[in-house]
Amino acid sequence: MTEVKSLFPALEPLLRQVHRPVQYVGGEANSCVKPWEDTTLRWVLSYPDAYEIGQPNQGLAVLYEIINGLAWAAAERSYTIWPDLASLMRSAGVPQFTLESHHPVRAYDIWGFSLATELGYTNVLEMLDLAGVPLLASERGSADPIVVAGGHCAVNPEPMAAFIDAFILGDGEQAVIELSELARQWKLAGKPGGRVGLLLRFAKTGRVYVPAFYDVKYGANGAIASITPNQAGVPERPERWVLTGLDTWRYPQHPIVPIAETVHERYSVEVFRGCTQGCRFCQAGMITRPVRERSAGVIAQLAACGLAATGYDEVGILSLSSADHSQISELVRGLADSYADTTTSLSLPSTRVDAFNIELATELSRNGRRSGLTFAPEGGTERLRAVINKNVSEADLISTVNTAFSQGWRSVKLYFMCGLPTETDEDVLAIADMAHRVIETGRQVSGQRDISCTISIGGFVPKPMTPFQWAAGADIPTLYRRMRALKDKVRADRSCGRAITVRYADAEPTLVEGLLSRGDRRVGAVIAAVWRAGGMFDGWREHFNFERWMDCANTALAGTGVDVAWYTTRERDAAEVLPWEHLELGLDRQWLWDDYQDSLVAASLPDCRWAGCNGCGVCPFFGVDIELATRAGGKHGGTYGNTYGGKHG
Amino acid sequence: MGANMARREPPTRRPDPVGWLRVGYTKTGPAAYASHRDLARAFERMFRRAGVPLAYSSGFSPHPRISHFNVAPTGDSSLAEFLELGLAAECDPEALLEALNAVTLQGVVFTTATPTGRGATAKELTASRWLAEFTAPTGLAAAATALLAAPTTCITRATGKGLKTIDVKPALRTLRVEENNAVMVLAHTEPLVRASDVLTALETHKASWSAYRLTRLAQGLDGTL
Repeated sequence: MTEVKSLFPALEPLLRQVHRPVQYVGGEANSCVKPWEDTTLRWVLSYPDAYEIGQPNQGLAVLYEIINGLAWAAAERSYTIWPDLASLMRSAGVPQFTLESHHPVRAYDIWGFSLATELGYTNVLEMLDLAGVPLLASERGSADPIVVAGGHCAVNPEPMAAFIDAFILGDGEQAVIELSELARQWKLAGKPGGRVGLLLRFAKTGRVYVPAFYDVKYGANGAIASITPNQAGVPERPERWVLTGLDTWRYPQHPIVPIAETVHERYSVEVFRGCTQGCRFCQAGMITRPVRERSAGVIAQLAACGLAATGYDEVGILSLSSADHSQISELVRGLADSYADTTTSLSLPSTRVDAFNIELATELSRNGRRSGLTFAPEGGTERLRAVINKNVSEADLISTVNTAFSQGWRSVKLYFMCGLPTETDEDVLAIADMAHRVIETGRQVSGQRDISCTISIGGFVPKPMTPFQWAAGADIPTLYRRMRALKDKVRADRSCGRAITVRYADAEPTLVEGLLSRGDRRVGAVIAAVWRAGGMFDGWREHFNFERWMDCANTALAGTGVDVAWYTTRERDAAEVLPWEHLELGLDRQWLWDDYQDSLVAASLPDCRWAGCNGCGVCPFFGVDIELATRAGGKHGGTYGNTYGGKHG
Repeated sequence: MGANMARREPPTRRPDPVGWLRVGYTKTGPAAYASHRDLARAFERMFRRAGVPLAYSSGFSPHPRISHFNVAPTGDSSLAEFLELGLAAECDPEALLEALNAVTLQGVVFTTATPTGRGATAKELTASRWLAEFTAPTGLAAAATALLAAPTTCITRATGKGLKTIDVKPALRTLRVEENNAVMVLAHTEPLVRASDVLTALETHKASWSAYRLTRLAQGLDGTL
């Protein structure tokens, strides 16, 4: 084996010339450095964005501790390098490196990417290139790592299929252990069959998707005609990983404490996974079913350990809708009591529109700090909210803000989406009326004038594996027309307009996200062309370039018979083969379609946690069930144990 | 946030610190690239991890009473950094050092902890000795001689508010060149002259090099270093 050396001596002279060099040096508390020769299997974990965005990612923090908990494996981190340093590195011949050991990423066995947003795809290409790893999976050789990706975007892996060797769908805990075991055995056996040999071993688990093992054919109308395996022994439908018994699984107890400033600086405890409120726009809720809770006791224990190990002064109570935890009252009261006389604050990001949420917020802000209240009605009219299955009435909202204002809050934030299926201009304009009532209610209840309301509205992107996967996305002019009309209407409100702020998101990134989220393999050429033309950091307003995306799409899709509009603003029919049709998330296709049809007639659906099974198909398919902490009996009963135990390092 | 405060009682006042410690530490390796704000955040968390009895300020957003002085610029190493720490309870300085070094960052080693009066550090640390290590320097000795002889040598430095012109001479106490290294003593004047400013001044006197590294070796009273 050739000796692998630290790149730090070569990197160091460059650091003085760049913005915020500390993000490239590692050395953070709780980072794990294992000597190269001490392990047989080495991972790099990457979030394809800058350190400040990627470092707080909880998914990678979980995998980092799990892999480093294996005596024979190591995981280090690498994030996207800003153009100032990247260009110096290219001139000096310094490749993409890891933060812990500053070893070249290309020297590792497996390079795992967490894909949380489609706007990070160009960054993946940038990182591969800077690492000296061929962009195309088909061009990689024995000196290159196996490039693996997971995260929510992986439920439609097709636009990235050319660049990623293998995708993992679902929960990563068991997956990284199994992949590590398989890769170690393959290495110890002398790498039989080379890269393809290992990818075949992965695929044969039935729960790894290797795009190269599947052929996609297109029909005359431009849509997909078929997706079929081209290798014996690989699954027809690669399946999602579903973790159960979260209490018994390792959760980061000593996460890395960044030195550079990042977007979230707190100890976050994931209190449950999954959500069954059934909001039809919400991909996260659909693809992480069923709800699996940690128990209040374990959560309290994790918070205490996490604070001691990090020195953070804030605990975040994390999940898709934390107020829905079945033990939330005792959990919040317990934490509030524990930290009552300390400088530690608690945060519960929740957007639920009900009085209970205010109660929780009041409890959490007992010892001083009180941030604003945020609610997400998502749609401006009751009809539209029934379409998206966000079942909140205007009366609910008014009574909720009534409670908030009477308990001393003075400002609320309201989140909405624009471009939802069946939406009309009137639906969006109704948001102004809602905000007007919020302000009036606030002034009445508090007897004061200093009441304010912020409306945040952004474009809706129809996502794979949701009932809206067939729906047409709104075009850019429509989005701007509605959002601007809303702003104008608020401005024209003489009595309350000055108390209401309207913030709307740019519509252009929404359209690009739409192209990438429901794209097929042909869209991969667009991503590559955009990166070649200098595109990256697309999630950053100052780096995103819409014209470049459209120019590259026009060129790269020429001759295919399809274009950006075909992918984004077109409604699909029930018969169309969707690009992610061959992937098994347990969701019943017919159930999704029926739910879509129900949405069009504004028929709502209750939460299966409290109202009985709706038949989405996930639980019976995987043989799992909803796991509520209040119901936890013998099987996963509330004590924390490390399935893959041992402290790392 | 302010609007939400209207009806709430201000939190109770926290007691004054029972004492202050001056803590000395190094900032080398990766930690040299941390800015003073990065270090301030990292130290707060590190002190909590070490279980240091930190005193906090009063108010809605209590902050630990930690004062930083003359932090070496981002990218420069240091063997002699100092901060003052307000304590909520008496603690043994030696035990404190041990606890801090058990949870510290790569490149930060806590070296001394001595009782001090609040704010005394600023009055007692008024100059620094710096080591500059050059790669492939030319004309260094001649430039140093010229710089020492010149009545003034102004340089310009980019700051957040645009370019700033500074004369390095009023701060420069000594400058000695030995082969590829230079050692200098700089007083902490206003405006502050950085060690890198002196290197820029050497460049204006025709020295050049391909790379350099700066390390603060010591801090003390101006005239004693």
